[in-house]
Amino acid sequence: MKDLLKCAYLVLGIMLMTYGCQKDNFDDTNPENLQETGNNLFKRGQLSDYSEVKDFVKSLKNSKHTSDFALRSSLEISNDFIILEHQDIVIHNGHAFRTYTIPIVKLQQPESTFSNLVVQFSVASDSTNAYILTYTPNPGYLEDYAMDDQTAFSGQVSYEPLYYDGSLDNLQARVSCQYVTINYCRNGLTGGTGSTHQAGPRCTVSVNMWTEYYTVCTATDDGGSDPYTIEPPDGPRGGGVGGTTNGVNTGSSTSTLPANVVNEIVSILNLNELNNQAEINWLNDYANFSEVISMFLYLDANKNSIGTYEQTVLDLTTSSLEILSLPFIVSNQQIDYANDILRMTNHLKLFGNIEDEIYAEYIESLIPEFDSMTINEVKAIYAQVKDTCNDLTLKYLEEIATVVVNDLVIPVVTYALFEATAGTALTLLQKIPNLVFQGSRYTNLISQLTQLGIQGNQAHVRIISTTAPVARAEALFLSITRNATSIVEVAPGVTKATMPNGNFITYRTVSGSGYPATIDLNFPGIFGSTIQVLKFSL
Amino acid sequence: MTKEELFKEEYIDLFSPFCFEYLHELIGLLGYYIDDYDKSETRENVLETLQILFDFEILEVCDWIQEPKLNGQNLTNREILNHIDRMWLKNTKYSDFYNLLIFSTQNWYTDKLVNLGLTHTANWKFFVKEKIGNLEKWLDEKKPKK
Repeated sequence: MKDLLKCAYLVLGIMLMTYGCQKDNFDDTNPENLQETGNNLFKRGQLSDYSEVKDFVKSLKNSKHTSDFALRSSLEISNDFIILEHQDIVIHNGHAFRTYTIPIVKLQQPESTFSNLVVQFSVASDSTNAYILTYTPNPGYLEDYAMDDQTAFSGQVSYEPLYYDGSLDNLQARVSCQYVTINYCRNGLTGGTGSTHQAGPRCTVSVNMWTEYYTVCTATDDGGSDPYTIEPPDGPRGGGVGGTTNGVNTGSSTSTLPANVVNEIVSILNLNELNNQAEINWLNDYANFSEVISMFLYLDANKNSIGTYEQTVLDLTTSSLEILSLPFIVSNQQIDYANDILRMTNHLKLFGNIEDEIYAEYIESLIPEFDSMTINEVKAIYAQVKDTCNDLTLKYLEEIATVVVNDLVIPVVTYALFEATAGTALTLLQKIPNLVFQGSRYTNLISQLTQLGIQGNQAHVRIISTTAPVARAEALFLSITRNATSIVEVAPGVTKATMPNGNFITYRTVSGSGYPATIDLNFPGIFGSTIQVLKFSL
Repeated sequence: MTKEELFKEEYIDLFSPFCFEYLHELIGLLGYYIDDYDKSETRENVLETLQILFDFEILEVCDWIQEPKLNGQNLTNREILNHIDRMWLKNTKYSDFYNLLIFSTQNWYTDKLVNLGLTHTANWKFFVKEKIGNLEKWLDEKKPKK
């Protein structure tokens, strides 16, 4: 109990010290929300003042006397912590989530660490998500903080998903990673630029505030986690995007996303407020859209090497923004229907396939008939074309991301497997952006992996001859299973990762054919019933 | 699965060395998915295929993982198949197959193929066509005499 109280005091001290400055936010953020007179991202308050999270906590509790361990809620008992209700909570209002960060103390709280219960409420739905983050500051951090409460956190953070057998949705969801974002700021106390610190309500100058992304993953099925090291970066675009991983099993990586993806795209495409206000507005509205992020990744990777192909992509991107920003119909809106439809059909003909072209010509053939139609009929056609064109345009942009995988990531993977030293290979594979491991990009990546090396005696076997085959195979396995729902040893020397959508990836060091390391890819949606086999050898 | 069907181009890879190492790999190569594991047709075709490969003396079990006491025993092909049939329980999951047994290719077979010029990256179908011709006949002639 003595140790527990010690920890509780530590947490109390840290929470008080961080008032007004430090916060952890765990959802999509948008620094554009900042106002010059303050920002509305961060708030602090007592649990009792926020009914949403209060009701949530209440629903998990059997008693309000939480200081009595015997009366803790089932959630607290099963996860060995107690909520410190008398402490301030931190509220973050993001686009997608309202996030409450609630101080807790764990029953076995390691000395010099502190923990938060993070509860997220989706803005768009009733879904709820909750997990615990435990912080282990680097030596000297607490002392520095005592001297200067603007000191940004440096140390390790561990993620533990919560398993709750009640009715609150998503709490039971098996989430293996959390996309942790931390807002940093460089505004000076009396204006201008100051040292890097974690952002709070006082961070008012948007150009001096930026976001760093960290992926913190659990590594085992029992909810245990490997820590992720966080070091404060030097500045918005300089210095290190914090962090190194500890051990090969974390699957953690830093994101390559800058603080403001929209500003980067605007800058690369030379958009300006005079001529491109609608496009900029659209980008801001859809800043977290996967296509916008894909767009940025491609543009950023190619901005210094604009060749014919890259120029075409730039043209496509610019045209896409123009098309996407065309208005949806609202009442009393002045729209030049014929002209805007022509812009859309031209876009389809320029960048679409033959099917899109046929569709575009069909629509164009209707334009001369508009005079004989009612305005509602014209509006209906415009709305149809707008919907179709938006869908197709977003699909074109998705193709850009596919190019990222095919043209940019696979050569890095190939270099890591065949040419880099084993240590560098590990780093290269770990640092592949998380976005590559999602949706069609991931499907493409897996397909491309079965083209690595040389075909074996059979079409489903690839032979990858390299130095340190076991280390490289293991590094590749850990990299491509980053989003696994579970990773377990299923037999001696055989580790199976269960991937989303009924897919499996297996890494094994046992073999009937004598290869020191093998990766089996079981993706029925891509390869049918045949398991693809990557055999690593010297 | 009959011997005649197995020698068709669709399945000829199954005669290549180390084509599959686990039972579920063979199941997949025969066109069956995870949802088919418990179907009687799957089991029947898999065991028939194994019997043909064992009868040609090209396949062997190199590790009885689940029942290590069987390792090193001089089992007949029928006994091997009976053990596999017994160990392959209903509701055996994808990951369970990794813990049953590992197949390998008999040395005499790989030796003869290597002498014919087979490498680990040679295209098996092309190799059979160019260097062997009638594989069934070749196997009948070359397999170790009892």
